[in-house]
Amino acid sequence: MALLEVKAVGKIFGGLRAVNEVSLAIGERELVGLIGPNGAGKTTLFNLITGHERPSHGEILWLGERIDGKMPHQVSRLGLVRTFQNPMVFQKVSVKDNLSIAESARRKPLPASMRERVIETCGLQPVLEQKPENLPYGVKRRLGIALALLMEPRMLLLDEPAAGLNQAERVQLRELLVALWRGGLALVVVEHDMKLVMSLCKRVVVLDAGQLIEDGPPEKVLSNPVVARIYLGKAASRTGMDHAHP
Amino acid sequence: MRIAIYALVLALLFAVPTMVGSEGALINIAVVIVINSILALSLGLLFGHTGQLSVATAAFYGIGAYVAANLALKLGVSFWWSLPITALIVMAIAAVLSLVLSRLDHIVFALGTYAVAEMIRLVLVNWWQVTGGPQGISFPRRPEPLFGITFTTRGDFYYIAAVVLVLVYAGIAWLRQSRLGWRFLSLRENPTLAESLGIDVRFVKGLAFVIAAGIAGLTGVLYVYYFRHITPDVFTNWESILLIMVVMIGGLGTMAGPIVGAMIFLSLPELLRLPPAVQPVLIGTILILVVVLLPRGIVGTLEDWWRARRMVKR
Repeated sequence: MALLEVKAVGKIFGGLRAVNEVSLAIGERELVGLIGPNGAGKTTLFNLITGHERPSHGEILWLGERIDGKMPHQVSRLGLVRTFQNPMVFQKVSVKDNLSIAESARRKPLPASMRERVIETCGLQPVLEQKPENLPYGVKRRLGIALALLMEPRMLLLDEPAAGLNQAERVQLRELLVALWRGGLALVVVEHDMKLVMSLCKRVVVLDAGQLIEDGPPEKVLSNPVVARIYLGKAASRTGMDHAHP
Repeated sequence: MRIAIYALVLALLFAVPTMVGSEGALINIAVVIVINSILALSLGLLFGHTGQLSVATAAFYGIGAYVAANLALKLGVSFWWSLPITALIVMAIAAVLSLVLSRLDHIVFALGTYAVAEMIRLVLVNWWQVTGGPQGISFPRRPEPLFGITFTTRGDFYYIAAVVLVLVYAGIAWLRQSRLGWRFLSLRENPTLAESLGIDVRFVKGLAFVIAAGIAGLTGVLYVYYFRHITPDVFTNWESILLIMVVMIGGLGTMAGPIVGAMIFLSLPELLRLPPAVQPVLIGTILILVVVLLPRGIVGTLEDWWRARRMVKR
């Protein structure tokens, strides 16, 4: 059974169809890239899945049970956790306190070993006493992911995790995501960095104007002329990249 | 170091009646400061720690005073039982109100509490069978003896208020370090993120509101037993706004800030013996200076300085 199923979901804002009849299913331990030009509906789809917005129609199921209509905290407690486009962290309290807040959200206390593992995986040990407002963008991104990981999710939805990162930080992020995926987590990554998406993900879903226009392995997506025209443009051949999947 | 500071402050707190006497103006100021410190701690928890600006603190303080007066005069409930019973009744009222208020955010929440406080004030003024209307209630009672100890002087009452202050302070300090305390903090820092991490923002916001109201209600019991006369004009929105100033001067989000704020706010005009017309000018000037020069308040600035000093030493 798929972990997450989105069935003919749509979202209408006024006269705008931000998401239009999108259906997809994501299974355990999948690493999926969700791409599309600005305004394609990627973040709206994340908002619908995580309860930040209610679908105008359609169904969203988690392990076979409907979750559309649930509040964000209820969705999160089911094991479906997200990060945000702008790195959302608790800016004015220390990184250590950020982690304590995230731990407090859990129903059961977190084993100390789990906390240590998250700190180590996300490379936060050197900055534990610092406030995020004083930290580089890349560290904030990793902190945002660490907060989500403390919820022990089964699926993590990452909204543009590489935005604003420099090359070194992108390499670190890629390594982190691969480690998380190898650790058994299902990942859905909204990203504009095609090189990152195509080299990281085994499956890529393409949205355009709210509609799903392609869903398959990177090779299939890149060879789709509609995708190339709409999203990749002439750069398609150049961003075709060497596919070095994890 | 920290234990030594706490011990010193506690010793000073309980030495006040011996230093200023059991009757007279100075012990009266001390009692008023302690009562208002407890009230400010209630707002400090809600506004400073949880980030919810409420203008209803004085309203719950008033409900507490009227409930305690009625419990004693109509049902013969003793002061000692009145403390927990009144707190629970006020919390129950706050819980009902929080069903609506916890759905509001930021300034809309503040406006919502303003409306609720005004509604409560109107009830206090008009429900004269219970509240005595604008004339209020005369309350010729004192706390009953406890374990053979009698409470007849202002100094005696000071000790009761000081013990309540210490208990409330300790309770809030414990709460802030608990899992619930971290959830409270998440509301102040980033409610959207808190919600996406699994925190039930509405419920936690409501809970903070209810706990703060309970503390304010408890303070109302102290008020009616100390002043022995209550009228609705004591528990207005203006009182709540003054409390906001107290918390901001002391240090928003700090533990000791509300108490330091209450000490400055209430003692300075009295100690300087300023005419009543000049007192608001002094308070206003202090508030402007603090907001401009010490945006984290007095205690907040001291804490920052202390933290920076420790980091430099490392």
